[in-house]
Order: sequence, then structure tokens, then C-alpha cells
Amino acid sequence: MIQLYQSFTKLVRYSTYLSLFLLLVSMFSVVVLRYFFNTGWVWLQELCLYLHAYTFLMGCIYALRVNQHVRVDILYNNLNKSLINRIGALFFGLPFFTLILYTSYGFTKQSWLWLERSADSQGLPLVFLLKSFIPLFAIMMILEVFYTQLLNKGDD
Amino acid sequence: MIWFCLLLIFILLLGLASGYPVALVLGGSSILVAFIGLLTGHFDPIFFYVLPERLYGIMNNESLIAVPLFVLMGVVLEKSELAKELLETMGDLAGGSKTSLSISVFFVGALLAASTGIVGATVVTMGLISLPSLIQKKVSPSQASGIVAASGTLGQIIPPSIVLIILGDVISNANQESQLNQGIFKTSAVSVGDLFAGALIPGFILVGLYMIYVLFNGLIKKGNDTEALEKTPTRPKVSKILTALIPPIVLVLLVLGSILFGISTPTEAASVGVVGSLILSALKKKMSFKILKNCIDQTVLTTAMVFLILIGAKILSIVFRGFEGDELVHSLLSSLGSEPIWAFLMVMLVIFFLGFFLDFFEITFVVVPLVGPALITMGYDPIWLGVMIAINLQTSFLTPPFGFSLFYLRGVAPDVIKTSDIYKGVVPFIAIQVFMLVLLYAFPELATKLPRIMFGT
Repeated sequence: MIQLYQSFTKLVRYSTYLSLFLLLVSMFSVVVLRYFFNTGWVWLQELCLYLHAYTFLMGCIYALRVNQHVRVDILYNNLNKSLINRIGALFFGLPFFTLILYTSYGFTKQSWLWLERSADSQGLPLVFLLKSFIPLFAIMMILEVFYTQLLNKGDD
Repeated sequence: MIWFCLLLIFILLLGLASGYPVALVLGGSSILVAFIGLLTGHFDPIFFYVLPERLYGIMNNESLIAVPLFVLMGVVLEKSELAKELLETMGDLAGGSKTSLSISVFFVGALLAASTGIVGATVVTMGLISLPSLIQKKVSPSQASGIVAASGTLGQIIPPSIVLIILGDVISNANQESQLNQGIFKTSAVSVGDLFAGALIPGFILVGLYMIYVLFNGLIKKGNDTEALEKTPTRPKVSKILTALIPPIVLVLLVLGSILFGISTPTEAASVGVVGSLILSALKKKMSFKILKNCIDQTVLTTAMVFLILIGAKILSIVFRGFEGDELVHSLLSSLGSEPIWAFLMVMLVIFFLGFFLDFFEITFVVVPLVGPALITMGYDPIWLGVMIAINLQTSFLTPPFGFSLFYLRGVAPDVIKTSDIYKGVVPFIAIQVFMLVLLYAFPELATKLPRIMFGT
């Protein structure tokens, strides 16, 4: 089970590498199209937003694993780190993402019910997918807080 | 309501001091207190339902895409050693003396730090690249560390810095809110480009003052300086100048220029900057799949860190508003006296002290949305306010014993440099920073004139 989860998060991590790279390629293509061909594809600009959102939301999971979310470490270095992380997870981390999951459920469901499209007719018809990133992010962060902080299995 | 606000601040500080990740403390402590409010009937759950809208707003904001792209550009320049080569060539070109090397450090700091803009990253980079060369040229440990710490923080104020992109977003919201509160519904926007243009002149003055100080210092100790000169008369070859010096400078100027002249948005310019730096490093055969993967890895982590703080801060500001904390801050600030300057000084002082404990992003995301609208309503120019806050924070990060830059510098400095050397070395630069703040207060046009000329705002 744990092993399955580890390979899954590894996959997520590499997918953020890919999405950042694709973000660069797409954004650069937008520039080339605009300044050299005097044209623009709305769907490509929207794709940049999707890739960007995916990168920073899913990157949070990997960043938690390798302890890259900044801490005020003046006292922390002299305290019982795993205890701080466990208490913090219970009082801060888990409520944080549970609330995001809880409130985004209705928000995303609405969007799925009528398969919300971009406001622009040339845009991507996938707004419901973009909105789904929010509850997906919340679920994965709940799992990761559980794994990294409650079970104390981060890669420090 | 005031008790809930105070409880929130107390739990927030407790959580931060514990060392639990800042982003999660910002959001988590707010939710905890809101929940207590909910149970006792003092908090309306309707506030919670704004949250997905706000999150979606972050995901849908095109100017924030510039953040990962500029981080990537900075990381590529650093990891491909283009930055290092640039510094060394400049130092040689300027004659290889202590003073000229010191000045090159500022120049490179201003040019390259600009692209990362994250305090820790730039100070570490500048420390690794330039501290050994300075020590080798027998610059005193205290002066060397002062120069490196100061040049590392320059990246925040010289555009295109990430700090200014984020501040631009936050200040723009604060400005709109202030105008709506005053009943102005045809709001005028403040863009990231405005803030870039506003920070340009104060940033250059700051670099100029740094350089003047080092030159002046070099003249006083003339005897020592010539000694170093005799040893290293190596003039760089023209080919070296053409390959190591010119391309990165041109790249940064192109990126910056296209934003300032309104040719492209910061996001578009950032993507060109990344592609440009990748091409440069490939031409120099300093790029491989492994290095690229490294760069992307670091960029993903930095971006995620920044955005999670942004999300946490959004939750905090929603809850704070739910407890009417924004009105509390407003009445607190206006109770300080009829003159707006007291409110302004109070805010600047609070931000300065917060800079000891929190990084730029936390302060910008948390404090500026709370105090910004009130100050702008009192008549302060939003662009000027943004630049003042940026320089103020930069000063805070340099100030011992808690300044962020100093911690990071300590982490990479060799053992020859004592911590007391670092503290002593930054004192003159802190004085320059304070002088710059006073100067900008006395002459607000330094920040407001250029945006007006360039964008007509």
C-alpha cells in the first residue's frame, strides 16, 4: 500500500516537471505567434493557465515531501520536530485541506453538471476540469500530510 | 469580534514560532479560530464559500505565470554557471582591483539577482559566486560579506523581480478596494509593469549609492588597493568579453526593456527570458538533460512554496474579514492621528519587524491587503507605496541579528568569515537603505514619474 502510494507520488512529481516544461513551450509559442505571425490562439493561452495551475498545485505535494515549504526555524531546530509536525498536522494541516475539499465540492460539482466551457468560444471547453484541480489537490494534500507528517515519512 | 482577531493573531504567532510550515499555519490557524467562532455564533459560514472562488482566481491569473518562468530563468543562469562567468569577466575587465571587483559584484547582483528575486536563493547564489573571489582579492571579511549580502537583496527591488510581480498583484487589488470604498466605481488599475517602472529609478539610485560607498572606501585605503593590482594584471581577451559578458547582459536588458516599453507583458517576456538563457547555456555547452532536470526540479519546488503561502494567506484574509478585522485595522490606523504619516510610519515599522521572521511573500500576501486600502485611501500613491514597502523589506532582511539574508549568507560563507564580520559589514549598507527610504519619502516623483511617462497612468 505504502509502496503503491510512493510510486504514485513519484509519478505526480514527474508530471509537474512535464507540465512546467510544457508551460514554457506553450507560453513561448504564444509569444512567437503574436509577434511573428500576428495571431493568437485563445485555447493556447488558456492551456498555459491550466498547466501553470497544475504545476503549482501538484508541486505542493512533492514540496511537502522534501520539506521545501518554508518554516520559521529559529526555535524549530531545538524542538522535537516530529512532535511539532504531528500536532501541526492535526490542528493546521488537515483542517486546511479538509476545508478546501469541503467548500470546493459544490463549486466543482456545479461546473461538472453543465460541463462548463471557457467564456470565450475559441477557448478550451474544459473549465470543469480546471476547477476539479482544487478538490483533487485537497485530497492529495490530505494524504500527503498524513504520510509525511503524521506517519513521519518525509524525505528530509 | 476584536477578541477573535486577537485570538487569531495569538494562535498564528504560536504556530509560526513552532516551526510548522508557514503556509499551513496561515490557513490552519484561521480555520481553527473561525471554527470556534462558528460554534459560538460569531462567524458566518458563508465566508468559507468564497474560498474556492479565490483559489480559482489565483489559478486564472495570467500575470502570476511570470513567477515560475522568472524563477526558471534565474535558476538556469545560475546552474549553467553563466552568472559566475559574467562576474569573473567583469571583475577582470574592471582592472582586477578590490574596488573594481566589489563594484562588479553589485552590477552582477543587480543584473542577475533580478531574475530570481527570492531572498534566500539570491543571497546564496551571490555568496557562492562572489564571496570566494572577493576574499581571494583580500577584501576584508566584513566588507566582503556586507557587499554580498547587500547585492543579494538588490534582486528584490530591481525589476524584473518576482517580489515586484507579486506586490503588483496585491497592490492592484488594494487600490481597487480603496477606490470602491471611496465610491469610485470606474477604478484605475495598477499593473505589474507600473510597479517595474516605479522601482527602476530608486533601484538604480540604490546601486549607485552602494558603488559610491565602495569607491569612497577604496580611495581611503588606497595603499591596500594597488597591492592587489600588481598581482593580477590579466586583462580578459576580447573574445571572452563577447561570449561571457555581452550575451547575458543583452538578454536581461531585452527582457526588461520589452516589459518597460509596453511591448510585451511580464509573463511573455519571462518565457523569452527562459528560452534565451537556455540557448545561451546550450551554446556554451553548459546545458545537459541532467542540469535541465535539476533546474526544473528547483523551479517546481520554489513555485509550489510561493503559491501555497498565497493560498494560506487568502484563507487568513477571508477569516480576518469575517471577524471584521479589516475595519479594526482601518480604525486603528486612523486613530493614530489626523496626519496620515503616523499611520504610514506605523505600517512601515511593523513590516520592518515582520521582515525578521517572515519572508517577503508572507508579508506581502498577509499585511499589504490589510493595510494597503487604508493607506491608499489616505492619499498615498499605490506605486510609491509598493516601492517603499519593497525597499523597507530589503532593509529588514539586511538588519542584524535576525535579517534573513544574513542567515543565508552565514550558511554559505567560509569559516574565515565570522558572524560578527557579517554584522559589521552590513551596517554601512543599512545606512544607505535608510537614506534611500528618506529620499524616496521626500521625493515621491522618483517612483511615480517614470510609470506616468511610460504608461500614462
